Amino acid sequence: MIDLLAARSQMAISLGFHIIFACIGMAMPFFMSMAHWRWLKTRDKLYLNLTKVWMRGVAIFFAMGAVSGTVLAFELGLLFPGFMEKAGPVIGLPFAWEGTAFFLEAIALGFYLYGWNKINQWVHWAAGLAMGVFGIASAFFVICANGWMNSPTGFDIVGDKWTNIDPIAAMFNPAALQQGIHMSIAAFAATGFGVAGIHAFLLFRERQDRLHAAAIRIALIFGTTAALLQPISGDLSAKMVADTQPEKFAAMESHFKTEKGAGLLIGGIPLEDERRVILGLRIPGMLSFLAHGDFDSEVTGLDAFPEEDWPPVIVVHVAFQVMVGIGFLLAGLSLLYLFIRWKKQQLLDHPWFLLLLIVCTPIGFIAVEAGWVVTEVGRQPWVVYKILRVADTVTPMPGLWIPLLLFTGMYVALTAVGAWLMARQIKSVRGLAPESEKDGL
Amino acid sequence: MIEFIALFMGISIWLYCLLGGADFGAGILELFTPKAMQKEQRKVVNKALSSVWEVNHIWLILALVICFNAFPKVWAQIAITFHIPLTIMLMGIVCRGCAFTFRHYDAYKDESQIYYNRFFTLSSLLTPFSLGLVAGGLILGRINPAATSFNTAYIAPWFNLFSFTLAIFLCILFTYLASVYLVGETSDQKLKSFFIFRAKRWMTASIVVGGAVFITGWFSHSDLFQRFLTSPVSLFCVGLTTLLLIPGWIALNERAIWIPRVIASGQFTLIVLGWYNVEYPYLIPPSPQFGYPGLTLYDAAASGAVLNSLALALIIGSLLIFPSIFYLFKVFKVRT
Repeated sequence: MIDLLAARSQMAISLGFHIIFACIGMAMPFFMSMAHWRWLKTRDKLYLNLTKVWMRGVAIFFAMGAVSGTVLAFELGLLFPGFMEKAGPVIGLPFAWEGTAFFLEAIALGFYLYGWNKINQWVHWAAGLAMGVFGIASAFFVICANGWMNSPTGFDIVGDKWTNIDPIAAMFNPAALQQGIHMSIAAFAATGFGVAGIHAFLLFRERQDRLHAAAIRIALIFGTTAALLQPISGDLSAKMVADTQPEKFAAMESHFKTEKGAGLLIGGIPLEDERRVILGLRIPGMLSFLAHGDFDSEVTGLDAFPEEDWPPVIVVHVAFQVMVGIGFLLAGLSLLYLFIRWKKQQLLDHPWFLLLLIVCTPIGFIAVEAGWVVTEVGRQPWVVYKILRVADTVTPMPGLWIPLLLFTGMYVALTAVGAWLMARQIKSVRGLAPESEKDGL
Repeated sequence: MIEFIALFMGISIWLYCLLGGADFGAGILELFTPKAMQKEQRKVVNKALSSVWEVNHIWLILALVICFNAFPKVWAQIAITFHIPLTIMLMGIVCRGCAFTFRHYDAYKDESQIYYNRFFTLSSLLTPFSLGLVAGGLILGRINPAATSFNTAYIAPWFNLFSFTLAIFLCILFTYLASVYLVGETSDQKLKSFFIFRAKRWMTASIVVGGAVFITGWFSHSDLFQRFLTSPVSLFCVGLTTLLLIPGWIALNERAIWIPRVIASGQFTLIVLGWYNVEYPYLIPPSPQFGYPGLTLYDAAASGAVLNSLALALIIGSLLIFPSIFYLFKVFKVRT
């Protein structure tokens, strides 16, 4: 039991660490390409400096994302060999495509980082953009594999053999599209507000530096668009979960009893043993509407499932509330920003607005982590929904708490060093004011 | 179809060793470089690696993906038996990649560089060493799925003299490759001489340790190893590798750039080919003493639909990847 817990924790920590870098690696090349585009069009040195500052960030995060992704690919088998033995052939296809996309991303990175003045400037610019495109593609493919764990399709089970494997049907499982879209948008929202927050901090310190104002503008083009689209994608995802994984949906909402005209719970703490929720706010009929598009429809509660198949309700519920809460907060902030840009330009570098952006720097990433907790913890006790239990796939090797400790220590150290490096990068940006002729790299 | 996919996996592993291996080699080389030369060498290594190292290391992921996709039982068995060295390898990969990036992109070049360098060089050694332990364990064939003790199940298959010798051999080969590649990466004559000197030294080491691999292999009564010595193709590969040492040495002395590179990578390729040849058709060799029949690529293969879709992905992927890698190396590696 302790080994199972250790294996799951190690996987969770590795994923939690990787996902941050994956998000940045996916979104930031687009910010960088937009700055680069402006440099090529306007020849305003400011945009060249900004491009190079961001490029260094992309390089660091890409490398950390690449190595932590390698770890994840191996850990699937090292920790859950029983899962990979069964599922490898079924979901190997999206992994193969992910590998291809990732390969192309790394090649594009090589061209971009070192191609300044070596290749045609527009080919060079396109290489930067290609990084982002291939980054999104590889994220999409990996999420197809994760979607399959949530809604397995494309094979038959005869005895304990999996036969008639159709990798293409497995890849395009019912969860893949919604999950892929939701994650990609989340990456842009989190990175957009994250980058804007950091530059808001720098602008706060050095109000004359136009570079940071330009950076915030570009980052928020992506950040606000994503944050405003996310509620729509979230709604579609929730409907998909309600259809394909009713237990997860019930746990997200702490919905214990199957009922018609179910109310939407906002906040609240579920008491699993007593089957009730305290301190929550309920909007009547809303949950039925959100799940099935009809205020009177029936929403399956946890009571419809044997208790040993329930996910840990409180974890899933709280994570879901955090994710949705932050999602709406960012959407609201986006509207505020757009209003200010449209009507009250002079407020854009008002200290209070900058402070608001600074405070919101990490919250998009918190929402991303919370979202993964909902997806992954919400599927427990299954690794492949309703087919394979996590406990049946874990490696027979004992003492798994040792690698757990090692990896946790390593990732904690790397996070600390990464934060310290970021702080040093930020400190060094000061010298890059537009009049400075110093090159970014 | 299954042979085609196995070939692809073989090519990925080979390219990982030839390109990614040389990256590790550059780190190992730095570990043994006298302090006075380290700074200059680091400059050359940074310049040589930075544009391609990430690409070089994806070959490993590709090999892994092919393995669990097409030969799921093989990967499950390897993942269980070699959990410990693979975990060490992963930590090495993370530390190495991060240290390399940090030392390159840190906004300030101060004393923190010392720590990045230490992490970079040590993990450059640790990673291929662990990989070598896994390879040694796989060649030796001591996997025992019915094992009851922790030692026989998770330690003994790779913790033995042969695996350790092979791991050292692999590190030496990687360093030899790196030194030979680096000769052409600098125009500074002093550094060039330094890399040539190193290349010859590591070449000598590879002869000594290569011999030790044969001796330990002989005494470990490995089935595969006996087959190696009786297979004409494998013997030919080993023989040619040994003979190529002479022109390799001469070309290095002549300060040639491309001929030693071609010879060194050719030698490495021959060793890998010799290994594949005796291994075929096994992916995990049998362990007669434990009654483990091993896994051939035919036993372990996934179903036809899986293989077809994978093959298609690999073919389309290659059409995209190979030309772009070729172009990448052309732009950054071929000096005119």
